[in-house]
Amino acid sequence: MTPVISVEAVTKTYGRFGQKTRALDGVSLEVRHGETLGLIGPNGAGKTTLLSCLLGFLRPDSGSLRIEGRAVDDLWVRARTGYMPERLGFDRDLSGASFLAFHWRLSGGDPARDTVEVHAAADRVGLDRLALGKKLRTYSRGMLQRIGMAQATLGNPALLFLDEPASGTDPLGVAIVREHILAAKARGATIVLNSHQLSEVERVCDRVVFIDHGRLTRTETLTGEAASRRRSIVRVPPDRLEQAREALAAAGISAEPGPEGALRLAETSETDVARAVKALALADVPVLEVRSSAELEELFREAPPS
Amino acid sequence: MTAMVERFLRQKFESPLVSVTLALLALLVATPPALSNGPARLVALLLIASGAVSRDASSGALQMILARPISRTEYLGGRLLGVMAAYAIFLAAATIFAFLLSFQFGGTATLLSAALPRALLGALLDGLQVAVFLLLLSTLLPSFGDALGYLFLWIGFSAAAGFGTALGKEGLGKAARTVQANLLPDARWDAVLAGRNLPTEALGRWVLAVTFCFVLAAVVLSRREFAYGQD
Repeated sequence: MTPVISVEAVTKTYGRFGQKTRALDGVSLEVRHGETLGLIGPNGAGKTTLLSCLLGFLRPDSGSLRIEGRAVDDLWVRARTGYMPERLGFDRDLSGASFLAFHWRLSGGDPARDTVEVHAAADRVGLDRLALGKKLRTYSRGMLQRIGMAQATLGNPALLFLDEPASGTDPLGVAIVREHILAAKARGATIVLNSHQLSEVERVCDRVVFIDHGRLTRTETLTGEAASRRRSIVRVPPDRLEQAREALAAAGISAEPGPEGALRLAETSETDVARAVKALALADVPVLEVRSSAELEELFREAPPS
Repeated sequence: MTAMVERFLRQKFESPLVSVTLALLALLVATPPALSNGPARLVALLLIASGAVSRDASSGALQMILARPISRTEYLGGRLLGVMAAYAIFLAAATIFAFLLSFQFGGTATLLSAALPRALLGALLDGLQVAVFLLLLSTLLPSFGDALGYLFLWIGFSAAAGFGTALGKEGLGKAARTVQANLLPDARWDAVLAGRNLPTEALGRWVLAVTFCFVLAAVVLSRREFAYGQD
């Protein structure tokens, strides 16, 4: 299948004179239609630079970036793009409603539908009408995050670039952002998500790429047949960990102990997990939690493979 | 484009401080002889046009706009139209004030003559030249550097011309005057709009200066990179 986004050997250096910083160093990746790709890496790794290159704000020194086979700044591409920046310092003198109406019109929306679309977008992110009438300078970080998400998803774009969309929001805001991403996924949008919230990344992304010092160091598939990192985790009381391991071993299931009573099962199929839970129940070991995880945090801590 | 102009007008006139200052300047411009107070018009235009591009770039708003299906030249055109629309509103307010003052203190007949439309159009065309030059500076300089840059250049050219003459360095004075005449030409719109001395050399320079500044601003903006929320 032809990728929607194609990045080939992209290099980007900041600073013309004196000390130069190589923000991207030969990054190559592809994003398929309908895929949600997570960009993961420490601060200053080059994630935002990559996103800026994909949006045409920055030009790479070398390499190429194509979206649907076109240049990233092609207006056809932009008409299908939604973008939410990390830094929400935009248009502070405008009211929430004016801001959304402006972006609705810029995205090619019918001006006659301004009010309907603005209200619908605000409802989707849980912003009330009173807040819409207020200037953005009076918004809290969480409210700005919500209205940022609302403008990014105006007109249901086929491509979404989200930079730390849930940073600084309350748990409800995090849930709203997640719901928006999942809704966009459900309608087939291709999404590139840059986030430090690994648990959220894990919940919405199909694949993650690790970027460090401008290099793409690792790719992990999180969903589907090719999911390489998915682990099933069963948590039992820490003092019963050894007994649980023995019960699982007796049932022919190998498990690796983790912190706080967690047992990582080598098998990941639903049948195997059900067998493990049954074995523990028969051994009288209480099962506190059963979950599936790609353990991105652990992966994040690991030294990236060269 | 309409959306861009509307946004610009909201940005300017929804700020009470800017609106009140512009109203006071309009009152100054309205005092007889109406619309002839060049410095007050210039201050109003600086207030309206300064930071037109640079503030959008530094706040991150420009990046969000450029992610939409709008070219950088269209954006620039939208900003220029917005500046001119705001300036036209300012001049309209000054005209209304002028009429109110004339009803109170006399002189309505002068305002009702053909001189008023000519003065208004002349002020707008003068404003276009300054606005497009400020727009060019705004694509190059951060924050309100465009307004400062404009003033420094204007003072610099005038001073260089003066110093050149005073020091007997005719070359320096001539160079400064030539640059000033080409970059900020005085088209003498009253005479031109009255149908006298048409076409004039200054009018040709005005057309060239406006075109040159806009094209250069478009080239600069199209070549510029925008890292997150940075100038």
